[in-house]
Amino acid sequence: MAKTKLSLGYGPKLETVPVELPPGEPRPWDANDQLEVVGEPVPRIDGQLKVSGAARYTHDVALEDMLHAAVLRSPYPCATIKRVEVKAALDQPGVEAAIAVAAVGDKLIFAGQDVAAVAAARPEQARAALASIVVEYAPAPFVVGTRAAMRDGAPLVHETAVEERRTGADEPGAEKATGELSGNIRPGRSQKRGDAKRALNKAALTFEATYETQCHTHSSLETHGVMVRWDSEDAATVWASTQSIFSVRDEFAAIFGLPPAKVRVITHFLGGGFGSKFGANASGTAIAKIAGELARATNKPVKLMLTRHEEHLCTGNRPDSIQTVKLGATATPGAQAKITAIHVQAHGSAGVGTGAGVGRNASAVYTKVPDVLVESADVFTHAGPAVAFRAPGHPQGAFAMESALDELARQLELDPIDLRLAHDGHPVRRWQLELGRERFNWDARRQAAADMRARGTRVRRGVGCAVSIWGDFSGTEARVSVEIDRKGGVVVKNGVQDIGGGIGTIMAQVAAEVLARPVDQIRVEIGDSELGPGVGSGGSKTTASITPAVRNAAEAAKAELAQIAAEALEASSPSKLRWTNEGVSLGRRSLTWAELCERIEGEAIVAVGTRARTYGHYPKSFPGFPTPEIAGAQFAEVEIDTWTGEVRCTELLAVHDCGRVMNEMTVRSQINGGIALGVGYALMEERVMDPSLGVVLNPNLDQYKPCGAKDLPEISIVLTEVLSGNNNTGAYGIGEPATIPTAAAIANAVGDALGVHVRSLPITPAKILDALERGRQTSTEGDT
Amino acid sequence: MSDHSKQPGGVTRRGLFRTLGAATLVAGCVKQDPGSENPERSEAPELDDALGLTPAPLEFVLDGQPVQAEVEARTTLLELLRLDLDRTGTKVVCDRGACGACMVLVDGVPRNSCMMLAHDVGGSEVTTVAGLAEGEQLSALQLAFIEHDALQCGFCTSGMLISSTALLREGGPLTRGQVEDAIAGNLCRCGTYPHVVDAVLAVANGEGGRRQTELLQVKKGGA
Amino acid sequence: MQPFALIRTKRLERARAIVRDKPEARALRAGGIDLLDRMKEGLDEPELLVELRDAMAPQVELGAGQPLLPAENPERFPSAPRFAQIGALTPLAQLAAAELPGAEALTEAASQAATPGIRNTATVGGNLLQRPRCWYFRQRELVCLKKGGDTCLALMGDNRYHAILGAGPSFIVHPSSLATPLLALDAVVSVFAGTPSDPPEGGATTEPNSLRLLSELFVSPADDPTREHALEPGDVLTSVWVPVLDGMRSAYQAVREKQSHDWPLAEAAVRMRIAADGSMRDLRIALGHVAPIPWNASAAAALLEGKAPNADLFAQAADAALADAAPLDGNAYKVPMTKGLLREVLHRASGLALPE
Repeated sequence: MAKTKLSLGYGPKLETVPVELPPGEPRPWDANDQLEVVGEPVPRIDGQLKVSGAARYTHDVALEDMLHAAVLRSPYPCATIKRVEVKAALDQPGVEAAIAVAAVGDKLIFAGQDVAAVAAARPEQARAALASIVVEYAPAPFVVGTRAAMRDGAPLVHETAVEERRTGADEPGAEKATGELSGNIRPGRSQKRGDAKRALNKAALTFEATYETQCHTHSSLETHGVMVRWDSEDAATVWASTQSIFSVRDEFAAIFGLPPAKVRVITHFLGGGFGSKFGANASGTAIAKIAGELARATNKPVKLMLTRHEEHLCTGNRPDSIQTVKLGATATPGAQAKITAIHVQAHGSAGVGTGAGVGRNASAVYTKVPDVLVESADVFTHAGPAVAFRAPGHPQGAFAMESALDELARQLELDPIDLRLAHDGHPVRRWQLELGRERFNWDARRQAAADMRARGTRVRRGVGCAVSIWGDFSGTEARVSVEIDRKGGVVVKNGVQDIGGGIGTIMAQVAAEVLARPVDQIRVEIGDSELGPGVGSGGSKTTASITPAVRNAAEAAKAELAQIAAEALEASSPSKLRWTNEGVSLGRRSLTWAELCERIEGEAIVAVGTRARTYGHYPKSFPGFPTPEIAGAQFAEVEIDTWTGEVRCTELLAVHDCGRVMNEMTVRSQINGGIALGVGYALMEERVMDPSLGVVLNPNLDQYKPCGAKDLPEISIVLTEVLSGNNNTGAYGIGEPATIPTAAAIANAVGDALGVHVRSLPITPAKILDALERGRQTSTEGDT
Repeated sequence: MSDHSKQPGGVTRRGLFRTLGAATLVAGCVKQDPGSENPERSEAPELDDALGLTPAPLEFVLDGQPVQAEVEARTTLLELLRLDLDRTGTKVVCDRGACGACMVLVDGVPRNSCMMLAHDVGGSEVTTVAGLAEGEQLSALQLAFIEHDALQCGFCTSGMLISSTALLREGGPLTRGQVEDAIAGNLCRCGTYPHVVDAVLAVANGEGGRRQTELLQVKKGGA
Repeated sequence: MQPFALIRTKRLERARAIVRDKPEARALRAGGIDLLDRMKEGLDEPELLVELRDAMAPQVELGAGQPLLPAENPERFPSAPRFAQIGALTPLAQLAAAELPGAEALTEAASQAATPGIRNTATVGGNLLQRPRCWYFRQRELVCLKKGGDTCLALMGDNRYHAILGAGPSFIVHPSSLATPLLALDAVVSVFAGTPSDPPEGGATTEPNSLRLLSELFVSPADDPTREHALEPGDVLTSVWVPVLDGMRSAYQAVREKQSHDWPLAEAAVRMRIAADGSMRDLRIALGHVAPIPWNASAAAALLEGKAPNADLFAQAADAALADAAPLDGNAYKVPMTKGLLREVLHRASGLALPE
């Protein structure tokens, strides 16, 4: 370990901080470094391929003789298979193989589970052939509603406790449920500080409310899918729509009993994942196993791309939640009021799967609250399994906790920003709240909202804010190579995939920065397991995991070049060399880049870089991790037509930090995306299941309602850069933080506009009208 | 809870599901009563010119090049483009006209290719995303998309380009609202809409500037 | 989709004859948006689609002609100095872009329906005759009342998007967004339905030979829950006629959960004239997405007829329009929503400023 001192800070604050660096680690970029390329709004290097339609996604890959697969799914939420015969499908046009996936006697526990599959020359032939498969089901009692599943005597989903399944997209370190299964409920997950129950009993003032969030589907534009080609008996190439190439490789190898090295996985382009695309199979359907078996049976490549309908049934979702939040407070009036206790009891259903949770807004943001208890439980239902979804648990938890804070603030007649500032110990988030107050014209808008409420106007406006907490969860698994050939070409290689954040562009920027080369002179190869270990794009860690390894590889390659240059230019030490876009110089002697590279012995310099463990966490670490906590705050304005209930989010200010900004433009895109997802979650998206039929009623993109262009507010973004000394580039994540507070901020704005809180997402016109009616009743009661 | 197969009204749940494999489904815009003789039914009309139960010839112009294909009637334009004509830049996302990822220009009009049959475009000019460039030269809008980062995962991009290309061809300056209206049928799950609007406005109105993020950097000595 | 064949004809009588010959397996196709949607879901599996696109032309014309009134009871039909004639094959986008002074309710509804891409393909006729969006009906695996089952699944299911007026035994809402303003505008439709003795093949019968009030196009579920319109197999809707009164004004508005592309939760359309004395005349009020048929709120219209625009009066009319509402367990919100919506549309149509 080498000790060094770094200039770290955020906005107004700059400090010299001692950091211990692992051996061989270059000095991290800190406040003293003036970077040329990193941070700039460099356009995506693969933009041309995407705008010309030339980019080939898994959906688009075509191989000679390729077959298309389709899967027959159970229409029943709970049923035992009595008979399954696939033979007749073989007589259908174009069909080359048909397999039963479920066997007689199997119990299927959600509508949409795999039953049988066919492979045919064309996808429409495969789909049409499913009709000829004969299946007899013995339907059994089921339950799909979370509350219904919690009742005594509800049909049981699992007879015994199921092991909690985690993917690389789940929040590292998030506590696991360990309690005993009781009926359909498995409690046992908790976050604790002090004794919240006791503190609540002693509190002079208490607030209690129950908040509910809906089931939210990822709805990636590219559905889940794979193509499998057996290259030999024991080797396969898998094209996968995945956000984690190596998890596909490992799971596919495990399914078919192969060494992972015998499986090559390719994802050149990916049409979205949002947490749902880890592993070879999807969370509720064995796509890789099915495609692999059909490819084996036919000796042809088999592509299985799910339909939109299937995507909604069996590829994951964000679990719903029912959260009771209790707050205890002192009786001190006005700004002196202190929250003394937080107790959250949460239930959520991940369907037949696991992982309902509520994140850490309640437990880890308000560190000045002495006594906190957050308890959450999985409730099993006969519905498709959930899977990690952009900041798993956090948007749910943020909605409940941030709503409760606002409701308490209203009760205490306090400004919600003041109430937050009084209990949040994170200096960056506190700064963000103050910034937002000023930039969003908070005080004037809140006054205007109060005036409209008082006048009882038809159209109301209101503002709200909410905050986020996330951590730098970057990992050490990446191995990046930088090759510099004798003709001067630079190639950066890694088996990471681009989920849409633009990691390839960032890799080029970092290599360009180190080598002092123009970005367009750097070629980046990604999206293939043969390019070296990468990292899954989950946990907002891609950039922070990959860029330090790129820098290390580029620095190592440059060191070799520097040796060559030092010799050629007769420098006493490589450190005396001056590097520019043209080449390298020492005093008046110089070599162009081409001249320098010609001197490389052999074909090329090949340097491999790794990433050290995260070593710094200025100014504050994430609970339980020696890595930075990532702070964010969002401010929303809504406009509501109180006659019709129509509600729109009109403006949104996002104040986020993401460590050192790697690319000002792509980071803005990610924040826009987090907000769009949050607006949909707040106002319109909801997977609806019929309680007595057990099927999803809106498995499409018209009655399932993702946010569209006309639903987005006017967005302003303020990035509060933080130099934390976490790694040698200073990057950390933004993908997840950007979506955590959006729905909560909008809900709080709705509360401000109406004077009544809507405690359930999505906040539809129906719920607005209901809240108005409740408000009218309350005020009438108050009058009498 | 014990008798879950009974629904209110005494209807068994099982009866609410279609029996698989049997043609029990009664549906359609036509009233079905195959058993009864239609009193007005006269001689069966000729159906000699029906096409498409098996592949039938189809000619149209695709991205400036004449195309001849043999296509079944049930094949959608989207399927033909992606499976047979290698136009995989045109994406399938919802396959029901609800997302816009499959938009193409048919005689200059933006349409959802998933909700058209391939045979609908006989004699027409179809332009996909692959036909927006002039040879190697990307269109001004395509370049603006790159410049403004109007794409993330890129799966909605071709549809966004088609919808906004059609809007730009109407000519004249544009407002944000007009652009948002034009792409209202194009879903983007990465939420890249603001940048799409910026890119289209840059081309329509000659506004060159990119949207800026306010970046509060760490400054020596504080901000 | 299961394999099928296409047939194209320039003659409506041939199209009609082909469908009538085997109605259970043949369907007419205009823009084909809803038809293809149903076929992809496996709800309809026709063997043969009979294309109408060569048999009629898109057309929106103001004042070019008058609907041909039947000899019997011609007074049933509205009279007006001018009519707007809209060809059934007109894409919604063309209608949305048309200049129809006084009938803005219609062009506004056309411009909000579906998406820009769909509006370029979907036709006026198809929009009026599309089948419901009910999420029970649209699921192939579910056998609802409309598909030969014995119960409307919405009744005991999730009925947040279902009917509050005039429903039962089916609780769908009519999906057409054009029907709402057209009903308010007192539109009539021409239907090619043959004559008692069909003209021979090749006979020149492009003249629509049956005129109906728009309201007669729709079937209440009380009469037949398996269908939404009254056309017999093979009958072709050819034109929609909108009477344009002197000084007519109209407005349309919908409430949606989402602005970019969404089915309405409720719609209201109002037509009126403001007489010289400032009073509202020839009022018609229609509500959409609240009933299994486009809903004529005639009591509300009667309450306002001859009176001057007045905010309190509009609120009373809205109450009257929803007086018979019988919401299900999940859609009671539609009652206050539709009232509020109608009030707003009355303000807009009459020109009386909305309160802030």
